[in-house]
Amino acid sequence: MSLVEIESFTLDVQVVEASARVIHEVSFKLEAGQSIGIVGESGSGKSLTLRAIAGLSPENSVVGGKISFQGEEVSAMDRERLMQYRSSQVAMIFQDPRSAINPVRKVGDFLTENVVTNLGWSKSDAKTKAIEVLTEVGISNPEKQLKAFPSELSGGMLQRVMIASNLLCQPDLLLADEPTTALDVTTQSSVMALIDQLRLSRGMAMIFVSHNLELATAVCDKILVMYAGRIVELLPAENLREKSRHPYTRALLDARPRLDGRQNRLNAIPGQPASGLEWTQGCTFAARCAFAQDICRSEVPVLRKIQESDVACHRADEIDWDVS
Amino acid sequence: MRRYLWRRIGLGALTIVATTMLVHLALYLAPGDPIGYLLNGQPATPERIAALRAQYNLDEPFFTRYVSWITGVFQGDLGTSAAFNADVSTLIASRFQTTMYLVLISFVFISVFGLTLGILAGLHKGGIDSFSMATATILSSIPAFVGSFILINVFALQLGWFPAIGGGDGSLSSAISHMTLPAIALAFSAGAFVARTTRASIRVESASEHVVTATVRGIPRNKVVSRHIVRNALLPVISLGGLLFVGLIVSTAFVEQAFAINGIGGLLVVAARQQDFALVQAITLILVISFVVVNLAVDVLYWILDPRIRSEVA
Amino acid sequence: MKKLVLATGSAALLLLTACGGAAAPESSASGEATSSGIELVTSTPAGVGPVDNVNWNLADGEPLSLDQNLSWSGSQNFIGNLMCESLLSTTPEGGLEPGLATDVSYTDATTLVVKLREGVTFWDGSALTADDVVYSIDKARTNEVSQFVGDLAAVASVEATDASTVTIKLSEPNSLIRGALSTGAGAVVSKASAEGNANFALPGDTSMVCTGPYMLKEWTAGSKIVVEANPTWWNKGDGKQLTKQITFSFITDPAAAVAGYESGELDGGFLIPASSIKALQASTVGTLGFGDGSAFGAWVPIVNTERSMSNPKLREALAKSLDYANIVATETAGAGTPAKAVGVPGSWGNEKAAYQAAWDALPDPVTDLDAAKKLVAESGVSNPELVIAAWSELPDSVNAALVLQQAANSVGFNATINKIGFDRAADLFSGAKKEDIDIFATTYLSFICDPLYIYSQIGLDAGSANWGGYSNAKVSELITSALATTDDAERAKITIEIQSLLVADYAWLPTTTYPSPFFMSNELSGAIPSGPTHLWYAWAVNLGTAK
Ligand SMILES: Nc1ncnc2c1ncn2[C@@H]1O[C@H](COP(=O)(O)OP(=O)(O)O)[C@@H](O)[C@H]1O
Ligand SMILES: [Mg+2]
Repeated sequence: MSLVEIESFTLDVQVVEASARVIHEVSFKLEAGQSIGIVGESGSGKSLTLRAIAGLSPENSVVGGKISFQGEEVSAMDRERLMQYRSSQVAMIFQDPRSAINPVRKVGDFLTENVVTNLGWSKSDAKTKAIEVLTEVGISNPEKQLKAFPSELSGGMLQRVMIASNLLCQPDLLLADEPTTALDVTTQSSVMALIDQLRLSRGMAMIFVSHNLELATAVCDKILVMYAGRIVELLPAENLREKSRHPYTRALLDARPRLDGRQNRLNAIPGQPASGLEWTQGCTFAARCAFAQDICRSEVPVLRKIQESDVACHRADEIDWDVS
Repeated sequence: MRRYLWRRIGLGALTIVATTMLVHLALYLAPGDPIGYLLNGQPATPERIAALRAQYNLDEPFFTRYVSWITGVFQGDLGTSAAFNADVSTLIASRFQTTMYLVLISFVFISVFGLTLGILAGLHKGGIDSFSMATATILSSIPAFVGSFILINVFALQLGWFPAIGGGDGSLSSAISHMTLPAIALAFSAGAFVARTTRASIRVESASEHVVTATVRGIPRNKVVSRHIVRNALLPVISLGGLLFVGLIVSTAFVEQAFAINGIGGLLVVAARQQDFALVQAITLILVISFVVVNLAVDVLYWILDPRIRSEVA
Repeated sequence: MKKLVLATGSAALLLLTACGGAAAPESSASGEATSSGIELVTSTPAGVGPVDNVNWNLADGEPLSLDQNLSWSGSQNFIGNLMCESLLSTTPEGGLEPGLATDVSYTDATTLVVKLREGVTFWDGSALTADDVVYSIDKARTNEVSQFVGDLAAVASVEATDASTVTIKLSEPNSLIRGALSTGAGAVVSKASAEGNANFALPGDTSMVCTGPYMLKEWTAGSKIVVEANPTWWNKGDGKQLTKQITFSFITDPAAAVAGYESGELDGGFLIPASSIKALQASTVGTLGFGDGSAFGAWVPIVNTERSMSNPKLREALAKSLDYANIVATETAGAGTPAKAVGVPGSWGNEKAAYQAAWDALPDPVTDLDAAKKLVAESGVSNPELVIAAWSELPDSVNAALVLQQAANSVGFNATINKIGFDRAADLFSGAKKEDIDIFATTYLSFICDPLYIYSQIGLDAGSANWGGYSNAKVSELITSALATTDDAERAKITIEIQSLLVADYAWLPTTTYPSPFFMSNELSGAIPSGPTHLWYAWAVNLGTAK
């Protein structure tokens, strides 16, 4: 039994009275302690997929398929079980800690809210542990920081607080949604290193959403590439650079951010990114794909195994990527 | 904090001077001669007219008038009301207390009605939302005098629960029984405004990412609502308080008339209509001071409730 | 200076008074029923039981002073007369009775002798003296803002002959001075409390001292005035001062006042605005009545110009164009009667039979458009201009002007409306030539129950209400002789002659009598609602429980 099993996950959202599918037939598995990176342009459905694992979907949306955690279907959990699941088994780190942490409550309250409210810890226990984890994530003078308000801390510090808060309850799975994107370049790598180190030392599994391919390959075992609400390629991280086959993945690699950090959006692929909402007859990427042929415009490609990768491209085995 | 406070106080003082000067100028430039009101429509000899003009400084240029007025204010002399033939401070003192009771009690209703409806509507979509907002819209569209009429007829005349008219004898208990109906009448439109603002604020806050964080950490819904949605959503509503408060004092005029309450609002209307310089000025002064004081209080409250302000100022 | 019915507040309120018709003393009704069947009242049956407190509303607002010499509003007289008594009293039937004076008589055409009542004390225990009387009358006639300067203009000197006698010398004969001493002009205040007292009778001040049945207990400026029964009143007796305390409120908002009456928070009130009359007539907790009175409505033509109203034929034409029934209905809620002359029955105090006979002989005011058109044609002026003045801030005044405009135009005038502000009051209510106004409306009343009073004001060239500049040598001569006639019967004969001349000249165009609407709880009785008595006489002295 895998830690997380996603099978034919679909999501239909309400768009002006009508229902529209934004996530199409997403399936993958994550083993305990393993980490998967989900990459893709913005709007490709990364966050929706990630949140669905925590049982969190937009209002009025309809989830299809199956998402199970340790064999238990998330959508079948009752309210109480869901609370318990969220409070002790999964943890989430968001892109912008400044908006993800209630600005009018103290850092200490934020850190200990879950364990005090849901896990029944005493306030003093929680405080002692909070100081411990703050120290662990590299925050100096933790006692003082507990009394500080989020606005008094830098973004990097806040993200560390966010990470620390997730260590308190010892979850099995960490969901990280672009945890470094909003941080300045100099803190990005240290925060990422921290996440990686803590994850490994505690044996947590992780799903890491990013559009920084480099970062994803560095901290993940597998890479899952999404485009327009679909998985286009799933492959071992070490294979990404040299053995990836989907033209979209290749395009992402070419368009990866420059190291000076000035351009951190994946916008160098010609054409507009498509969202899962857009209905096409064939491959959604065909409109932007240099290799598209008639079949690409008429038939939706399905994931198929080519060597170690799963690729959804009609021409994946024809194109010879010259990676030198 | 201290520097911040001083800056606010300084700004407040400036507001007071500028506003009173503007009002002074407006009165000075207003068409019509206040002497007509001073004579109360009676035939008068030229000597009497001249005497009245001198008594009320009507012939002096604008700046002289303003200076002599503000000097008087600092000496605790608000002047003599031409329309009421009485000392302005005497006229205002008891009425101010009455109006304060009215406004404060109204404030309680506005908070209870407005916040309850707003929070309910903000948290629930669909039926409860539509019902709450429709209630707010209907209440706010009732003109104060119609609302007063209905309240008087139902709760004072038919049911006899409250007195129909008057402001009570000055004690708190009589103020509460006398002011309940007028305070409700006064609360309608402001309450609806607060309801709408609260609803919008709750919606914004509900959709905010820190609420998602709390939810995804398994915090029960009721705690998410109280700790993360409502508490945060109320902050922008509080900042309305200052504006609302002064608006309420001004709009007491109708309600005071309908319930025969002798308050500041009604006094201001009479004073303005009769171009009673001293009285209009004094009431303006009170309004502006209340505005400044209430806003200062709101600022301090904000300072206490919203740590973001503190770090911004620091 | 006369009381003008010019409201500066939120509502146009009228001071309505009457000397009463020819009713028998024990009857409460004046016996006059109007066309709409409303019975006018001069007094209500005396109350029978004690009351701790009565809440009484005066709808024309808080007084600016309680000094009856200063006329700012009716409320100050309604409260003032409970406290400060006059030398003589006006009875509800219009007669004069002894008051603080046991006797006031003319010893010759220019001398009056006032005999003071012995043993009267002020509230503070001090004795009423001739000095107080001299001080009070001098105050009424010399204070430039006193409303009685005109009424007492003939007074040359007031002197204390001895401790209980005051002699008033006149500069010319004036038969109305005795009547004037029954009004606020003859109200006596304690000299000690008034002289040199800058706050005397001003809002909030309670230092005023008089002799009357009610004493000033509390004045909360902006809210209420409370008076309480004077336990040492010289005239106290069975059935008097049954009401221990009266709390006056000054609710001007009609709806609020109605709510107050209906809920029992107000026990009664004077000066009920026209808009509340219907609601209060339907009340089950109290009764809306109409007090008879000397008040009337009239159009005042400006006759001292070269313009249309200088032509008597055009004045007559205008009078015939007026829709009297409609005016009575809209302005007096049907309680009034079309007025044949300004000396309305409510202003008769003596020689009522003679006045009644003369009144019956006067032509009825009737609408006759054909006759009016004919008169306009005969005037020799084609399409004569008529500028009607209206107070821009009083909707009722503008409405009345619109009605007149329509009537005038229908008979051939070219009528327009000139909306004026209150700043024109001083000019309008004087004899000054007015070139931009041909006619304006007024509601006026006699302070004294003697028609000569109103006729001398509008008929003499310098009459205090001769705002239109009317001038007629014959009328002047008759008025002068009437003023010199102290015999009532003789004076009535001359006054009736003056009346017929002024009516024939259309000096003013009277429209309707103006009874005073009042409201009183069914639990109470005894208020005197008719004027001018209730302005000058302690109208609440018999107020008590109805049963
Ligand atoms: N609450 C929502 N309601 C409707 N559509 C949504 C909602 N959230 C996201 N979407 C749509 O779903 C698509 C995928 O969104 P998301 O998962 O946030 O993308 P990303 O890969 O950038 O994280 C987008 O096209 C977006 O427009
Ligand atoms: Mg995203």
